[in-house]
Amino acid sequence: MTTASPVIEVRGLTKRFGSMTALDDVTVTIPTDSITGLLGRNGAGKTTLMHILTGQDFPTSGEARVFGGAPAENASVLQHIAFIKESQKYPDDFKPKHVFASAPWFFENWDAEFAARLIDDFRLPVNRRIKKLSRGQLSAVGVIVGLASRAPLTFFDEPYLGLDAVARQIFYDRLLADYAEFPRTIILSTHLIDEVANLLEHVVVIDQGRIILDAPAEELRGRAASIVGQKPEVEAFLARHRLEPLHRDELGSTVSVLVDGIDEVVRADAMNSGLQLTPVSLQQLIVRRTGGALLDAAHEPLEPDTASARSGRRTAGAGR
Amino acid sequence: MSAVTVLEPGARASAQARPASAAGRVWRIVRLHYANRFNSMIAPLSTAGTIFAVYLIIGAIIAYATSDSGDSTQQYSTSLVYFLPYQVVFAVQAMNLTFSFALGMSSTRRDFSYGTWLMFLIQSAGFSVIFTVMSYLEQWTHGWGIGVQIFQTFIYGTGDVGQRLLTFFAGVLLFQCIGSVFGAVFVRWRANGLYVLGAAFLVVLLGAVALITFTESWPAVGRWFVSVGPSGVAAWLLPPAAVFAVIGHLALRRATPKS
Repeated sequence: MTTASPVIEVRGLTKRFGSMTALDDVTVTIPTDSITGLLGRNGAGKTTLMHILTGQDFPTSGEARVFGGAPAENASVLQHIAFIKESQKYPDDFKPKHVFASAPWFFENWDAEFAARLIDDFRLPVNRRIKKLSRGQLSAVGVIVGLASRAPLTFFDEPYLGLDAVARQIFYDRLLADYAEFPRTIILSTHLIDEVANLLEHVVVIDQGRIILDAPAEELRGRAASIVGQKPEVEAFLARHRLEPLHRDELGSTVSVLVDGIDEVVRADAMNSGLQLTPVSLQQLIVRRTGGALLDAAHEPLEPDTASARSGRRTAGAGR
Repeated sequence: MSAVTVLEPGARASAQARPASAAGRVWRIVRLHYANRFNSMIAPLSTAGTIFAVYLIIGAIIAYATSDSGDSTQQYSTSLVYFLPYQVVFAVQAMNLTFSFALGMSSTRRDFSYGTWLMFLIQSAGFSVIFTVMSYLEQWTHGWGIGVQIFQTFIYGTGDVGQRLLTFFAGVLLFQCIGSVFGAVFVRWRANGLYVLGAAFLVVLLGAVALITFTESWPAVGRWFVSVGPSGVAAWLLPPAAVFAVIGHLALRRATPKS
């Protein structure tokens, strides 16, 4: 990273709930002034990680540093954080106007005008009790707080449950425009990977409590590709470059494999070997990398031993 | 703190903004409790008002039915005692409903606890003033014209102004602090915590009664009440209130907002 010390530095972080390990020795850094996607399946540990980074929960072991300090019960750290979560509870009988009235007490950069514009954009009824809001309207309350608070570190945890496509697009547009004007560190956790793929500058993928991918989005976009060709040629190609397919489809003598770790040498060789190489979307890559157990069950992995040896990550092959 | 120096980029967004002081962080929690005036002001006032109205009507009925026997029949009504358990409910709600939101707004548990406690003090002081004024009004109007005693009972609302203020204040505060323990325990351990706490409360209460009974100390207890006087009793409510507040605070220190 060329920027100053990272906003978030996590080292060996483990969080257990009883016998369940939600985070397993997580080490990750999040670059300052970037939009980072925290991606993974349900129950992968995304929310637990964000809970610890925002001081909502306490680590079992390991270290999480935010703005150089441990976040839990640390007012000097927490005052720079906005955490917008899908499950946010509001006091009984609160109306959106109460939320927006109290937000400036907590967020020093609060922009009331921006909030008012967003309220219009999302057509949010501010005078209706929060309990009576639709799921989408409830999400809009959180999205507006998250954007208008302009906190130096803003977390959006599944911020747009129930928001329609138009409202989501408004969110992306406002987020990007405001981010360009007021750069800050934004962490976006979502299932809608394709929708946010172009927003993300950095991607962290978490699966079963472990970080399995931590890279600039640009690098990931070119890194994974599907390779299509005749079976013997593809197999030879994979062996030559020690590539392990994340996924394979066979149709007759033609085989299509999804591989991670494409570089210039590999790309050039694919061209020379007459193989068809097409980049895959971020979502496809992540689905293949985190859905391993489920998806690989139907396909015998090429070399189970190398699969587990290569990165030490959990794969279906390692389990068998 | 180094936290601020690392923060160069974010600081751009807020040229004139300054970090909240410790007092400011606590005070905003108080404001948060009052952000929606219905829960924190209108509901408690309506509860007190309803109890007042009910007793006034009952008093009027009794006065009408026993109009020949003068105004000496209605002393020692328990009336406002019923307002006290409501304070427990109020405190539990204040804890439970606002805790998750305050943490969602990046408050610390410590600041939330202090702010909530400060809100209880304000709330108790407010009701103390209101009830004291009402007790004098009641006195001057000879029991609202029908000889009822709602704000001047044998427990509180008699004596000089200082004593009245103190008894109302201590009574409301004690019950809010009891409520804060239940609220904090619920926030931290949910229903299971409440079962254990309820049982513990019962055991302690029964244990105290049993101890006093078996040692035949009831006369001594009676003598103590007489010797310390109404103001003394009220003042002695404050240490347990403080103990409950500390227990509530400790329970909250490691609580996490549940979803």
